[in-house]
Amino acid sequence: MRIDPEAVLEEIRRDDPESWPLFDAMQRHIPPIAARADVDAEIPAEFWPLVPVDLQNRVNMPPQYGGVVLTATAVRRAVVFERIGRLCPALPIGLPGPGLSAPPVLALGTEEQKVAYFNRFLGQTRPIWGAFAITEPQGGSDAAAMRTVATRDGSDYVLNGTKCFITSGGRADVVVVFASLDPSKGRFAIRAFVVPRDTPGYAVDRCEDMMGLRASQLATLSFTDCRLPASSMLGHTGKRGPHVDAFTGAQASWDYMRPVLSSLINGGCLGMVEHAEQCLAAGEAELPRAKVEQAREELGVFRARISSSQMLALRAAWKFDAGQRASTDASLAKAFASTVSMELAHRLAALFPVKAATAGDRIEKFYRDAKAFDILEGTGDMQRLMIARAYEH
Amino acid sequence: MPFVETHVTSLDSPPAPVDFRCAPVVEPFLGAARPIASAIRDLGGAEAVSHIQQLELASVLPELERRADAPVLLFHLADLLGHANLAAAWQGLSGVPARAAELPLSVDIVAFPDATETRWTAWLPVVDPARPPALALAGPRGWTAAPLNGPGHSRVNGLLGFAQGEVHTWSAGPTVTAGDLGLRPLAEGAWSALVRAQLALLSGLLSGATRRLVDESYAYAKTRQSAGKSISQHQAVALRLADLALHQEALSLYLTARVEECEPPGMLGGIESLSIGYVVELAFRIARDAVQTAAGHGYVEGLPFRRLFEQVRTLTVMLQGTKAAVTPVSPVP
Repeated sequence: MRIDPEAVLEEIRRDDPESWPLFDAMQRHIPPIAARADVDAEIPAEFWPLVPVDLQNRVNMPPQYGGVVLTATAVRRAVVFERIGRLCPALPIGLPGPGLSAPPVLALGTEEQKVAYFNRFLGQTRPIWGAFAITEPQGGSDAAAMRTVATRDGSDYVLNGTKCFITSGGRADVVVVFASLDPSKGRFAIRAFVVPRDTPGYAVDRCEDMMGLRASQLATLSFTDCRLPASSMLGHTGKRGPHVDAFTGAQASWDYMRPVLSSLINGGCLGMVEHAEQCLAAGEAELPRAKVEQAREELGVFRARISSSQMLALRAAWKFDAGQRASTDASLAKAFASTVSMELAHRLAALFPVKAATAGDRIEKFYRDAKAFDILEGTGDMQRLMIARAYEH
Repeated sequence: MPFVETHVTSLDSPPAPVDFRCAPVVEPFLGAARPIASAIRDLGGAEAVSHIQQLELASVLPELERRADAPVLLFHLADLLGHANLAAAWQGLSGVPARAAELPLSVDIVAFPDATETRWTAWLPVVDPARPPALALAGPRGWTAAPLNGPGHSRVNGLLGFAQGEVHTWSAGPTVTAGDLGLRPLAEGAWSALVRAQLALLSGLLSGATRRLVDESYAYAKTRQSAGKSISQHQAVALRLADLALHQEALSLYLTARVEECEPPGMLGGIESLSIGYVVELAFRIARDAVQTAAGHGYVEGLPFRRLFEQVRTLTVMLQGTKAAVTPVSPVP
């Protein structure tokens, strides 16, 4: 076994001088704005001139379609996002680019559809967001029971329904929307559609006021008689062909993003352990002196837990890059990382009760952010059910 | 001759910075050990141990090209064999760390000191009265033979988890000082090699034993029926089964990374700096949840749960005792 994140970063720095400045700029400019982004629930406008927007739009996109090499492999994404997560695990979730919408396009789209989709993010002077819409008000974990329908009408499809908790949904220029051709047929009637925000009938109903991860954005989108050309269906060729199992496109998104999110969480946890150790060293512990040493030991055990979590995330990423099935590993990584982060947040709240109750304090913010980690991208309960099913076989 | 399959390594491409495959030195030995692991699964006592001894690990380790590979190899083999038959694996491999430290062939088992080097402890498998093991006390300052029933020696029978095992302790105190023991110097690097080998052995056995607990839990939950379906189909049980898998994977990866030292230097360090608090937490959690899965049948003798529960507990105590002998690279609890 070999794990050398520094060598991964060195490889990027050597092979990709173009996107290295992006990574550098994010590390410099995220920390000063993280707290304000949490209060205002948006990324401050002054952030965009500081970080190359053209490069940001191309993060999490394959290089053959114009994506940055910085995030060209799952292992690179894991290493890079863990570093950024140490500074703030919330803000990176709200950064521009295709995000979660890229994997279903890659898994399901024709070559023309892929090129057309990713071209939207190239050569832009403003941040461009893509979004992935599958969750509905009455169904999150049970995604196959969706009620958003796409009805064939001549050479078009007409979309009707509501999607909620869509990351960057309120500012997305384009959304990959999962809808059913016939809800009575369950999973195999599901298809994925590319829906630009200027489609008549497309509406942003609201953006949520979240407990944490406030620098990112969750929105509710509604589709009322949205008329889409048939060519907007991912995989549509105009002729009969093999069945397109669009749900695998959704699973592709989760397999892609769960190691990234796990790494972000792990980075966030490491950043908080370092922060807590510094607070103890600076005499800011809200504890009797005898308990300070015990607190240091507890933080040491958390470092061990995070070490396991890092390896679970990297192993999922490594398997993804090797073309192996990595769904179970991605679930293991996500479930473990989110559990560790919540336990850490809980423990820090006990060690630093005043900081944990002070609005704007880093420890206070981390508790709110950590609560989200066990919910988004598949709840911890759902990850565990998937793990149990996989191990049973 | 030990069983070793031929193995060809490509020297052309540089190593990938992230790679979760087994270290190349290990795979040929694992290939040879897998049939042995299958064979010993349902065997008892001496017969299982004799299968393990066919690997001749005690003579293989000192001849490895790189000394650093010895604990890695020992860990993976202990994991594989410990999963199959923990008691036999312990008995068959417990003498190997002494060979890794190049102690004389007359030494079978080594007793490790506490932090003050005034008390040594050896954990022994089943003792053959006709051929009791040759014991040695070792520490950073040297080693010496450890006569049974000599001054400062005491013994506890019935080591829980390893049937009929024993704990032997030697205390150097007011009547017997460390100087009286006549320690002989160890070869350069031998103490470090000994500690690493012992920690690697115990870590490997723990990884294998906890993995066996998880496998037994899944197997039990699949066959046991309740309310018309397997209990694995009941959500409360399914969630616990998932946590079992999750924590065992976390433990195994953590121990493997410590033994193989595959994190960058200056981070958490090698096997000597493993976090006992973390390992014990995970091991006990896995053992507890496995017993819970089998409920009443896990609590009583019969299925392997009760025995494995006690063996895992004993392994963590042995691990703590060995770690107490080490000066950590960095302060890790």
